[in-house]
Amino acid sequence: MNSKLRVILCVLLVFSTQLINAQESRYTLSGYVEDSASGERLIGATIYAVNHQKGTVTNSYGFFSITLPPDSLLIIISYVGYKSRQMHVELNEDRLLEIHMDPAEYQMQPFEVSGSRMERIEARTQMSEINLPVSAIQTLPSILGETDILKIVQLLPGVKTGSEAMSGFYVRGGNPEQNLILLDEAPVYNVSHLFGFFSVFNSDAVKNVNLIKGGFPARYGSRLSSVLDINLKEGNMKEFHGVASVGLISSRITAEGPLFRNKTSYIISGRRTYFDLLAKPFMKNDEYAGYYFYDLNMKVNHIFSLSDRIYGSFYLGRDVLYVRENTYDNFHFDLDWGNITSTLRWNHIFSSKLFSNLTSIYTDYSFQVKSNTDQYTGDKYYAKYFSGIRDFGIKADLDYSPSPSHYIRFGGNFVYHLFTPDALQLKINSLEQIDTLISPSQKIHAREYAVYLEDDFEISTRVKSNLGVRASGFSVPGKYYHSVQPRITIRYLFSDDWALKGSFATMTQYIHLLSANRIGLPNDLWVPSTKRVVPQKSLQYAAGLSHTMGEYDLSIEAYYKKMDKIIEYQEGAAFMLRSSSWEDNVETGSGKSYGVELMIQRRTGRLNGWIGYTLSKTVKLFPNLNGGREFPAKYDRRHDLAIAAVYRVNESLDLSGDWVWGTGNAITIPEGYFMVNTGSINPLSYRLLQSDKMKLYSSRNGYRMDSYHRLDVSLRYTAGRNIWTFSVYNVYNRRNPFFIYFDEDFANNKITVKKVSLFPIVPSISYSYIF
Amino acid sequence: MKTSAGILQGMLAAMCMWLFASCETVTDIDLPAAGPLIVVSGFFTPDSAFSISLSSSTDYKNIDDIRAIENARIELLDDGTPAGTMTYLGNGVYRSENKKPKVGILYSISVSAQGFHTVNAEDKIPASVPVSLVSFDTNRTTEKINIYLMVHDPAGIKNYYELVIVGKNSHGISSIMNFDVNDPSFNAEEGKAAGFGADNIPFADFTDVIFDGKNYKFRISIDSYYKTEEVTVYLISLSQNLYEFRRTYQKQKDLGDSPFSEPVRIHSNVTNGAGIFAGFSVYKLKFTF
Repeated sequence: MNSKLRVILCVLLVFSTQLINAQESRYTLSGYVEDSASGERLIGATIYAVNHQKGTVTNSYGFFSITLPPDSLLIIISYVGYKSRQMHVELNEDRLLEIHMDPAEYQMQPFEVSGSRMERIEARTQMSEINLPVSAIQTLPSILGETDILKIVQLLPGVKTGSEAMSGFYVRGGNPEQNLILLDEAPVYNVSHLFGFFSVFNSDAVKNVNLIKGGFPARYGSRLSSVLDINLKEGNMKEFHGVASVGLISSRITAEGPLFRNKTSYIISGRRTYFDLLAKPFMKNDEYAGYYFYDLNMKVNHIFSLSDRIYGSFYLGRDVLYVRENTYDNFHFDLDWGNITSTLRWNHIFSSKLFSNLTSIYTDYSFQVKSNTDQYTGDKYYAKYFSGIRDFGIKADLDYSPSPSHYIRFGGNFVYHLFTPDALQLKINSLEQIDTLISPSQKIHAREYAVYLEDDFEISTRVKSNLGVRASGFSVPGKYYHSVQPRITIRYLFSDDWALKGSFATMTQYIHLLSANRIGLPNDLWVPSTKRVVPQKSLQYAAGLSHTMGEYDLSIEAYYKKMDKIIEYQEGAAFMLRSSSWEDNVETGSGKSYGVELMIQRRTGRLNGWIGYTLSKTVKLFPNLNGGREFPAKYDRRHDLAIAAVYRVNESLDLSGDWVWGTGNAITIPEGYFMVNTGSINPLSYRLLQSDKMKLYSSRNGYRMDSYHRLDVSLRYTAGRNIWTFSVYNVYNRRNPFFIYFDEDFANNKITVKKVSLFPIVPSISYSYIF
Repeated sequence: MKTSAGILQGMLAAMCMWLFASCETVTDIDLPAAGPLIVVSGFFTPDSAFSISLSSSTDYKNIDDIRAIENARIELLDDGTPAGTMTYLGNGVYRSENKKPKVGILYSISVSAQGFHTVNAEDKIPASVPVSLVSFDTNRTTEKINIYLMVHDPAGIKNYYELVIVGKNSHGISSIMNFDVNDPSFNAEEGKAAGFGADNIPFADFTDVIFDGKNYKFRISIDSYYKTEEVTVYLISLSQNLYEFRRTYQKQKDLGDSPFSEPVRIHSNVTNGAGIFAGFSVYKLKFTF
């Protein structure tokens, strides 16, 4: 019998045995936990039954369910940033509750609830997971005063930034396309504004950010390296509120409130940069250029009853760069890219033990470059290059809690992908009338399916596990792929405040990103697995210790990840330079990453933040790259340290800062020059291989740039409804390397090496008004 | 077409540079200098003399220090059997007059010179592959002469080709003729010199990836205003090393410092050194219009 099948049957057997046991006389306490002021439902709040020393946490919709014997229960509900609550509940029948939590005062003390252990790091089964406090996102400094979720994610251990200030991130040696980034359950394919300097996520509209780097629960799939799950706020159910902010490069406004009090609420948030508007007066009327980006988040939700609620979420964002020369040649150039995502979700409680969510998803990413010009001869030229991916999906997720020892999740999803890897359209209106679509690769239709089953299973008071399996399939014309991916995470609580955790996860990814790899432009192409390019796979082992030391969470994890069938462009291949299908221009290989991550975090109190350190190594092996020899990944970084801290001085004043230090990026540089000279041995070759000085490159990524380090600080001053934020990026003006190039002056036999640094010290100020 | 894509790409790069120019600072830095390597340039074809040119590589600080290597010792091996040392002729050129290369034999060299690591390289000459003339005609609209050729590709081995056309005029002067080729075989693999929309090119490198083992007919076009008395088609069979060397050389030259792609390392089969030691053979087809 197939070994994978055996594993699945064993898991099912365990489930069924336990479910039979669960039929004893028990009642279920279920419901929602929400913010008392806004009605916003809280994700990850802890509900702990003191009498039974059992607990649970709310899911992504603020729902919880716990089944216990009949009793008079003392329930403690806690959530970071809120006052803990105690409730007495007579559990003599199934109960459905709405629990309201009050935000904590600014002098918030560490949790006083000695009975509740659920929120402690060692109590959670899940490992390699970090929940990012939204307060930190809004308080920590960022470049040009633009708060950015992904910049904060990059400060976490195991997560590496790419080049200076870029939004893309690399998790445990994986490339950015191996991160599943979900915005209200819709995947976002390109998370960059301004060529990667800012992310598309507007922090004013975000409620919760959760990152999983390993030990993936079976409900997540389709990417190899991480899951970044971002939930938008739902909108205030009680009263109208908003915030308007003005910064150096952009302004944003957010408004939220009830459409029908306690029944229907909305939130709408938008922002736009104004480089272009500020620069326009300094340009000529007939020759000008500009750049801007904008995005818009909208969400509406309606409560039909405690059992039924629907959510509609929408995101639209676009970057636009343009040049106009309305002179003799009427030259126009446009570059734009952006995402649209929307989800419609229906929460339904079938019973106190069974919660469901049905989601329909639409996501669209596109990138295009257009240029047209009129020649003085009367000829007109028009060229357009475009690329994109569009998904239509539906998914069903069900949470079933038959007993205190089990929390079962199961469900499935279907996604219809439409890829346009790249296409070039050319129109020439001259002697030769040409109007043609030159499309090296046509549109590709693909279908992706998945079903999963997982159980958060408390085997004993000390041993808890999450066992799961995910089965997925992918069909493209002429080929069908499928995969069964077992997932196991085990936690062993070997003392009251120490836990040993281990996990194993296999992942399959059916889509790929072709990246030019040297700069963070949006010209990377999303492509599917095809007959020739097979799906990427990974397996990851992780083991670690978790410990709570008073107010501090400590976590140490070691991991080993192996990736197979990953792709890269051939040397010299890049978008728009290709003369044949993209499949002819990629190399397939493997990679491995291993390392140790340390994190100490304080989530409460006046001073909170974290210290994260990663020691890791990531290498790749491609038969046709680097002479078939192993080479370091571009963002292989031996050491990576980040310190982030927020200090609340008083009700009005917050100070924050972060300091990062990491090994320099690996790059390929010329080690020297040599003469390519065939002499005169063959007259036919002579004119081809003339005597040229050519570059002699090091092995791929064989050179390390200088180490990267930077300190940022921020001060936030609140006076009533007014908030002033002063930030300084790169306080000590470190000239970090962005890239290196060789300035060649062969005429004078002189070559100098230049290091380009992007951002010097950058002070910024922003102002917000809360209404 | 490649030009249009290049224009778009260039503009994209220019826009990005413009956008970040106000933020960036540029400083000179010092990189560790790499030691010099022996650079081998050696191409051999049946019944010619082995001739090898040796030079040294240099680091970027001493770019004018690329020198011919004199007084090196080059040992030649014929299928592993020593076949003598090569004679130094001056200007970095070494020759073996006695040994004439043959098709299919593995030739190796071992080069040692004072101040350098010893380098080694080996390669074979592939058999020449015949090409025949099918027909030709003239397109009055484009004023091009279409020449239809057929390659008789051997089965079971991967072949690497270069196509060159030489015309002899009424004065008896031969010159390489530029030609157009739009056949899919010239687009079948990345890295060929004749790329997408290859017009007016002096040579075309291609492989048999789409016609292995077949008699494959294709068309090239030359301008009819060439007053050519005689045309010679050279179908050069390249070793894989030579094909890769030429492909990567051309690619590095074409890309320059493009930030849109990974740097291209020029292929080398010289262990501990750089350059190429590779074999080729030529099939000539002469005809008149």
